[in-house]
Amino acid sequence: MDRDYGENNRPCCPGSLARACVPFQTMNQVFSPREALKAGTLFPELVNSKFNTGVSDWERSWKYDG
Amino acid sequence: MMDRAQIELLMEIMEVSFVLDETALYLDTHPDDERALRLHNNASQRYQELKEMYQARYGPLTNRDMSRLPWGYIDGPWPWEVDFNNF
Repeated sequence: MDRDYGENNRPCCPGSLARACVPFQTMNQVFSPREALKAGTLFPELVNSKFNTGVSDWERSWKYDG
Repeated sequence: MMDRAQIELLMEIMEVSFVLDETALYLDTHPDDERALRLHNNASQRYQELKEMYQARYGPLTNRDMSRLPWGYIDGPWPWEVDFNNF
């Protein structure tokens, strides 16, 4: 039995409710192991400073892995 | 009771373990990133060294590791008995 779920009538992009856009990550500087564990990420660019106000001491002391 | 040296070693193991979690996840989506791989391999080597060092001094880190007699895994302290915030 053919049922119409509407998938053929749906416009492609204009009707989409939302579209995810995730930029591809490129590794740049990395935290030291100690800083990473504190920050919850190895990658400084993934720290959203808006949600981390008050814990920016280690953000300022980024280290390179050499 | 855990002395300071033991806690410091355990902290370092946790830190390097976390770096490994991160590099492994990154490499899943960037398998050709040579610098990330180098970082991962260095951390992996450091992890092995730290783990061996810890276990030689303080006994098994997990219940998958070898132990002297008597079975050392049950020797405390347990994670919730350590106040990591004061180190």
